[in-house]
Amino acid sequence: MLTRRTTRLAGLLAGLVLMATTFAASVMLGTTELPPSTFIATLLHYDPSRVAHIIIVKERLPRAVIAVLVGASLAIAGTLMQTLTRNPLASPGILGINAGAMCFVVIAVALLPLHAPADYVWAALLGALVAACLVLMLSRGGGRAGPSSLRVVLAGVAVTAMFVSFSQGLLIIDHQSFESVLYWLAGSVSGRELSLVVPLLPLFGIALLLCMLLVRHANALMLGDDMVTSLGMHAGTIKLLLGLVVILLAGSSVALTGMIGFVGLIVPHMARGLFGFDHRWLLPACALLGACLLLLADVASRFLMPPQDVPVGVMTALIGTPFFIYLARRQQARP
Amino acid sequence: MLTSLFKAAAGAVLTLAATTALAEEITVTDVAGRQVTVDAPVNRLILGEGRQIYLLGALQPETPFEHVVGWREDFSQADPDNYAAYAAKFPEMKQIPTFGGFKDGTFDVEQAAALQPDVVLMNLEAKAATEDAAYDDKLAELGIPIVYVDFREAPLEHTTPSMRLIGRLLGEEERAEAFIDYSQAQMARVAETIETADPQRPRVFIDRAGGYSDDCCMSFGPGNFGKYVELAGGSNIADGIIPNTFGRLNPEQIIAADPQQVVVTGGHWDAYVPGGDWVGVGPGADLAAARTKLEGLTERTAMAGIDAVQTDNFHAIWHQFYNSPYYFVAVQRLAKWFHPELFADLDPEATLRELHERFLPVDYVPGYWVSLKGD
Repeated sequence: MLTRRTTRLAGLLAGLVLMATTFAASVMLGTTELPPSTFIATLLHYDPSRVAHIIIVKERLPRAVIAVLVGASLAIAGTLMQTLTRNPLASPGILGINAGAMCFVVIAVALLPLHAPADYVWAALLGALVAACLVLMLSRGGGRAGPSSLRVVLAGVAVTAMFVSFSQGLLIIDHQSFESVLYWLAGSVSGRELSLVVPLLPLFGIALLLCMLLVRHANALMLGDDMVTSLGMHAGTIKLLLGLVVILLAGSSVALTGMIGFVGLIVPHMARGLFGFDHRWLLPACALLGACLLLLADVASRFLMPPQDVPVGVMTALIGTPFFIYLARRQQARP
Repeated sequence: MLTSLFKAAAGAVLTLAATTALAEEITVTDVAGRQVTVDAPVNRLILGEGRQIYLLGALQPETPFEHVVGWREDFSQADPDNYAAYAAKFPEMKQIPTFGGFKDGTFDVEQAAALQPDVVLMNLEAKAATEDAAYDDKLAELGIPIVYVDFREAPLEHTTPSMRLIGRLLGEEERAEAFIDYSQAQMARVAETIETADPQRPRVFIDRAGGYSDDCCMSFGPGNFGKYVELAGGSNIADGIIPNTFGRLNPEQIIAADPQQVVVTGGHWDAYVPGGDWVGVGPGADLAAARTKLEGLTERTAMAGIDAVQTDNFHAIWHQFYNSPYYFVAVQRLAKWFHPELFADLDPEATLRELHERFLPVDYVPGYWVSLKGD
């Protein structure tokens, strides 16, 4: 573990270099292999008549930028979720965010003339918000301390089950209408235009600003609700604000790319192993590692079943499932 | 009163006896290679897909619904234009009980049994799902045979045997052979020219149901429209990427392949995707509106900078050519788009009109294709 300030800074710098490398790999590797010179030439002098330049600007760059944004967001959301619930196996999905987003998109497609990711964004975001609020409402105790960890997990399981079963029912009844949603449901950063990101940037911005303001309180929360109170704030308020950050980050990510699991589960453990439990270092580390993981998963998805392109959500599940089993077994082994 | 009742009952018994006497037990081999024993000519038929009426209509144009006692509810949604044309001419069609699909597990065996069909006509692509749900066993126990036909998975290989099979079941063998001869003659008009001239093959991208979903792009592998492209003298860019009949290409693969021709398959899919970007071609289509939508599809990421967009070799064609015995018209239309000089004398519209006049129950109404080239 990196303990001293200088080594942690060096660690973050190394993370930044790793992210830049994976970003470059994401832009250069794929169906068409593009040399670094083409990438540099495209950035300096974009020529819309050259196929390689078009591929980089229209497909690869948006794909990589979205992977960075979503990977970082999901990783931060996962860390905060584990802090909130004091459960190392927690992820944003526990708040029912994925299931809520899925359900609202399915309902919107069934009832409204929606058929494009740009249209899904707001339905997904609303679904994520409704599901998370429902979980938080159901998990509130009688006192002022806010939702208890166990109640959050149980409420999350119940709300997720409800939304998933409702979505599946609709998909079975009218599967033809939902063909347009299927690829979104699998989770993909491919074929998304950067214009999709623009309306969500304020939400990502608000979430990151809240993160910076609440970083000390997040540290205190790990030591117990009393520590938060000693900093002059109600533990319940802090939990709700951190919950809001999770909803904004994970909800916006799901709205943008569909169901991408396990990033919010794996990355916090990797980051804690390297940077410890201090959120001042942990959150930036998570952002960098989350971006790297999703970029790598996306690159790998291009080579898993060539020339077919596997949705990145499938790839993260392939990576994440063994990791989840390992974590669960490790938790079980502890006295 | 009693006398007239007795006469009616006696008439019904005699009619039943006559049809039973006329019916003979025959064994047919369906397109799945199964030996099926049925009483022919078949009197009561369930269509596992509504669009099988394309086959029946060609064989019994005067009374296409005479033997249909139930059908899957897809015709009205997948091909609303033809549904309206058939409904106008055969209003009794709207009274036929409808079913869910075998593939999605919404078929109701009890409802099927209550209709007492002699046979259930099932599409080949639903075979695995039918067997998984044990529909075949359940229907067999009730003495209802399933016969598989296909004009979607491998239309070029299976349409002819499917046509012969249904012709035999309905006692319309001569009519079936006439249709087969006609379709083969029309196919030969393209095949012979391509074989003789051996032209340079343009790179072609088939955009399956383009605009139906914003996820770009669905296409065809080596089968169905992918095969039509090859027969029409083109080179399908998805061949070698999509291993089966249906699949998808990512935008990068399309940009990298730089297709010289793009053919979007379209239809009026308001029932599935209301207000979608699909190109509404089909009988009686508003071609100006279809052209506007087609132009809109050139703006997608996957179409950035490709040859077909720059040269206006960007076309749309009726999607149901992929799932009907009229595929030869699509092959002719593609051939004329890919090699206009070579097929200057070929008139796909005249072929489609003749097909309607000679074989189909409904009148020909243009609107089956549109192109940014303007032809």
